[in-house]
Amino acid sequence: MIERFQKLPIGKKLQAINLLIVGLIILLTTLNLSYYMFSSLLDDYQKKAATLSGVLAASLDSALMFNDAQTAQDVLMSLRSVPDVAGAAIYDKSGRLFAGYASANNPYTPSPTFDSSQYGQKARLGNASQNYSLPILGVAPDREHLGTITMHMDLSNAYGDLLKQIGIVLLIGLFILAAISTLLTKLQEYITQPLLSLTDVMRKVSKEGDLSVRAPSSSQDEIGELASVFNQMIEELSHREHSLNQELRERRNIEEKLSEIAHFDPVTNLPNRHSFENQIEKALLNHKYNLEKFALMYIDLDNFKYVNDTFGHHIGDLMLSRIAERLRNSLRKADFVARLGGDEFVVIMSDFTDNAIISEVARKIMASLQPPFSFEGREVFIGASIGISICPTNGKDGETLKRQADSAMYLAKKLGKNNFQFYMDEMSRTQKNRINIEASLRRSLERNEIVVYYQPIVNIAEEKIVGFEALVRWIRQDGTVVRPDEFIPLAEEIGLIVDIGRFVLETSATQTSAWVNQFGLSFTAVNFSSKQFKKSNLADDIFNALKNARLEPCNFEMEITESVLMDNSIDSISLLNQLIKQGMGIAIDDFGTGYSSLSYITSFPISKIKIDKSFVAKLPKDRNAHAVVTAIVGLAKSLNLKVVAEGIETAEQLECLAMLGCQYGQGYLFSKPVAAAEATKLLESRRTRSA
Amino acid sequence: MRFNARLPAVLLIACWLTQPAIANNNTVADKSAVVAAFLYNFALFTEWPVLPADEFRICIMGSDPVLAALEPIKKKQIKEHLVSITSISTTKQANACQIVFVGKSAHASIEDLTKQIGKAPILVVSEANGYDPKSVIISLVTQQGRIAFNINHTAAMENSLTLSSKLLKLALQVY
Repeated sequence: MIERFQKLPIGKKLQAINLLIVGLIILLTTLNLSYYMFSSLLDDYQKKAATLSGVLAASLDSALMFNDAQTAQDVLMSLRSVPDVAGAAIYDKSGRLFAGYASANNPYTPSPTFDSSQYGQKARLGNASQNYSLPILGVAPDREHLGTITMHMDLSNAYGDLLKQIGIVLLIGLFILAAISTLLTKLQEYITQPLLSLTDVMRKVSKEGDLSVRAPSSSQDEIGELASVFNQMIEELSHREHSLNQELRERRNIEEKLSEIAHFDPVTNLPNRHSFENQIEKALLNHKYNLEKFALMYIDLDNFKYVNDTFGHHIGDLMLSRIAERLRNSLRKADFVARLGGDEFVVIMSDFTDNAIISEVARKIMASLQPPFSFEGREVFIGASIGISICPTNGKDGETLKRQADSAMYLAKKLGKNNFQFYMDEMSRTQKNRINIEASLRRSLERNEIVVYYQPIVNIAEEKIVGFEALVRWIRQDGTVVRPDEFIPLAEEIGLIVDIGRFVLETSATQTSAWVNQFGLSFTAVNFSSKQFKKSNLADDIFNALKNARLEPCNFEMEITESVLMDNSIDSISLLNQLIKQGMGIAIDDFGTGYSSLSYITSFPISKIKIDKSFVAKLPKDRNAHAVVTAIVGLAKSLNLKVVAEGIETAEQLECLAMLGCQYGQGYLFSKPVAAAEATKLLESRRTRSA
Repeated sequence: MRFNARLPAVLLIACWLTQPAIANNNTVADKSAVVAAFLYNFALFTEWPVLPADEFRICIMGSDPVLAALEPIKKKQIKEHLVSITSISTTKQANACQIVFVGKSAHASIEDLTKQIGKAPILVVSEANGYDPKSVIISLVTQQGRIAFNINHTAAMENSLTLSSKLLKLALQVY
């Protein structure tokens, strides 16, 4: 009961307490009133009994005096019409029953003798009847005592009336209770309403965290006080939250900056190597738990070193950021791209069904890098080599996948750059070997393993060295000398030919400049491959190199093969025209072995023809060779071109060539290709032939 | 329940035999005492036009035990008068009395007595004994051992006597 009461809301409690008190008051009032009503009812009955007895006694004296019981009986019978009389009796003066009456429906029996102790007392609650007695007196003046009349009032109607009245009182009490309850319900709202609204506000604050709400302070009592204190508390809270939020914001900003520095490359704004390591861990976990495949793509820019060297690091960085932008745009949102450093990028892509989709993405990347980048009004082209490894097809751990993607990328470089390769387990040993060679070739320039050798070109009639042909040699760390025909194709494949070509150009130009000054050397001839011709600014490279070496163009000669002329007709012709206008010599190497088209000899701007050593070797005996050489020499003379015979090894060959009118010669008979220092000695001794 | 068991008793309606206050007693003395009391009571319920200044006279005509039974009445007062009990032998003597009780021995002279009294206010009482009861004002009768009375109201009014209605009510017969 008390537990239930404690669970009630305050309003109900107040109501319950008030109702209990009011109920008690009403109950007590009812009881009091009932008692009063009962006693007044009894008084009424007493009075009624007294009146009746008095009236009857007045007419009973004679009956008693004349001992007329019948008459007395008749008199008593008149009580039949009087309600609430249970019975009556008359006793004579000796106390014996004289006459009696009982109402029809009452079990009253008068006692045969008068017992005064039964009368004179007020009836109590619960008594069935109220007894009354009155003495009957004789006629005046003696008024002697004749007997006694007793009256017995039936109280059942009195109780009925009493119950009815109590009922009415209780009904009124209940009505009052209901009215008070209604009133209390209304009144208690003055107490509970502010409490409820305060609770609402508190709930709003605690559940929704809304600190902008305030409790309305309507009353001046304790609840009003509570509301205002609560408001102060919220104010304080909101103030604290505000400053906390501000601090949190600042901290987050700092953390973001730190994380950016830690995880992003400042040049490209792409994630850095650190992020990539995290990402690959995530991708591996994702594969472990979700069997999600992913591909690793190593992207290495082709010739980026050239851009850096030519335009400086500032432009290089600018270009990297533009490349990063293009990479990002060519990838899907879910793909991850990072810069590993230098000109290396990496992509992690998932959500593919087969390798075709990966190929498509790789092609898209290469296509995005195709359009030229323009800096300071100049257009720069860049390519990329891409190596791809796939988890789980190639491996399931990060290190293996990275190594495989790297190998595939080198393979792509080796296969001519600007392409992509998937890593394959069955890569041949020779391929691996070539990859090794390739790797060491890449480092050869840095390690100064690339060297320029010089072979003298001799004026046959004057037996005098007029010039040199510059020939490149790769002297590996173990001392072995690699010939150009062994490594130049590879260098061309991997794009290193440009760097090597530039090195040879610069080195030989510098050397020649010294020889021209010291010995009055006419020229040095340098070989250019068709790959070098593909570069848009070959002429600039050459003129820059000559300028830097302070060498006149007329002291420089370019040797090209017929195939260069055939492959790059229009661009090449304009280049050659440009060079020849500056007075530079242009020689066709290995003449007679290729197309040897008469038309290009006449239309292309050339100044010299070099007869292939295969013809020279057959001289002087082979008639056909003899005829060919005779024809070439004749042709050259008539077109005003100089002629050089290559590969002269014997005196007979020299004699024959001289006889045929060939102007210049070159070969082991005079000297094999030698290092610059030895070539200088040859010039000093003014000998045409080495000892 | 035990309480309700008494309910049948309730049905005992009050119809008891009216027991006479005085038991059926044939002794002469007892009857005389009742008659004496009656005479006294009659005096209380009757009004006389004039009463003698000295005393209220009750006279007994003929010899009758009632005379002796009236002895105690002498000590009482009737209408603030001393009571005298007188035995008379002639009708003429009756004129000085307020109440004349005619004993059995004098029943034969009742006719004379009434003539003698005429319209004088004298209450004549006698026991009914075969004579015309109308000749006396109150005649006593014995019924079921109890003494009752008849009243000749006409004669009482002729004699200027006023009988109380209570008395008339108690009478067995009123002429």
